[in-house]
Amino acid sequence: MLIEWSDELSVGIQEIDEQHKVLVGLVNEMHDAIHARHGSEVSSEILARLADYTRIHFAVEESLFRIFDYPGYEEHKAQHDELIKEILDLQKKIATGHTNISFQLLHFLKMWLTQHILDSDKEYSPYLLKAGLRAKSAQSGWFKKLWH
Amino acid sequence: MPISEQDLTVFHDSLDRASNSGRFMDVFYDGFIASSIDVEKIFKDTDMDRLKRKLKSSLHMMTMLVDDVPGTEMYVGHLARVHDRYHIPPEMFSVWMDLLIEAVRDCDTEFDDKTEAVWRDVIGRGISIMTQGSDAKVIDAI
Repeated sequence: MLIEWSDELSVGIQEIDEQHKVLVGLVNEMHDAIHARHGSEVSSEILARLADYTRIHFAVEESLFRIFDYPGYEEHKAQHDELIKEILDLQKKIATGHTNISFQLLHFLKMWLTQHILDSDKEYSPYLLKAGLRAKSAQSGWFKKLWH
Repeated sequence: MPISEQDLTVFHDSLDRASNSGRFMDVFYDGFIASSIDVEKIFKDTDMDRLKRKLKSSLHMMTMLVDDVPGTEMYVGHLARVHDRYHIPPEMFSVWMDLLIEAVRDCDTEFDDKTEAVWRDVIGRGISIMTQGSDAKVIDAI
C-alpha cells in the first residue's frame, strides 16, 4: 500500500473524504499492479479510471466553490486544471508508446494527492462548513446530503 | 549534483533552530511584504496564517527535494506550471530567497557563512525548477 488513509487527511466533510478515499484507493491499486508486474495495460486502465474519477471529484469541489462563493476558487481551480492537463498529456504519451507508468509517477501522484489535500483542500473546508455545508452526509444523493 | 549528507544535516539543523525561535515566519513575511510595492499589493488582503502555512509547505517541499524523496521533482515541476499561470517574475523568487535567508540569519543562533551557502544551495535548487515554469520536468519519467 502506497498511501494509508488517516484522520490527518480528513477535510472534515464526509462526502469529500469518501471521494478522496476512492482516489487513494486507485493510486494504491496502481501501485499494487506495478508491484505485481501486471503489465502496462492494467496500469493504464487504472490510470484511466483515476483520471475519470479525478475529473468527477474536481467538478464536485468546483461546484461547491461556486455555490458557496469560495474566495480561493480561481487559485484552487488552477491546480485542478494543471493536473488534468498533465494527466491527459501523460495518457497520450502512454497510448503512443512514448512513456510508461513508473514508480516516479506513482510517487508524484501520491505526493500530489496528499499535499493537495493537506495544503489546499484543508483550506476550503472551514470556509464551506461555516457557509452552511453539512459535515456529515445522510444516505441520499450527494447534493441533498450537503445542505442543512 | 546530490547534496552531501553533511550539508543536509547543516540545513535541517538550521531550519529546526530558526523554526524553534518562534519568530521565523513573522520575520520573513515582515521583510518580504515590505520589500516592494508589488509584493505588498499581492499580499495585502491575504490571511497571514494562510501565508505561514504556505511557507511551511514550501520549505517542506524544498526539504523533500534535497532529501531526494521520489516524485518530488515532478511535483515541484507541476507547482512551477501552476505558478506559471500567475506570471510571477523570476526576480521575485530571488528576492524571496534573499529575504528567507535574512530571516534565518536573524532566527538561527548558529548561522554562519557555511549555513548561508547550504541554504542558498537548497533553496536555489527548488527555485531553479520553479522559474522554469512550463519548461519544468513533466510527469512522464520512466
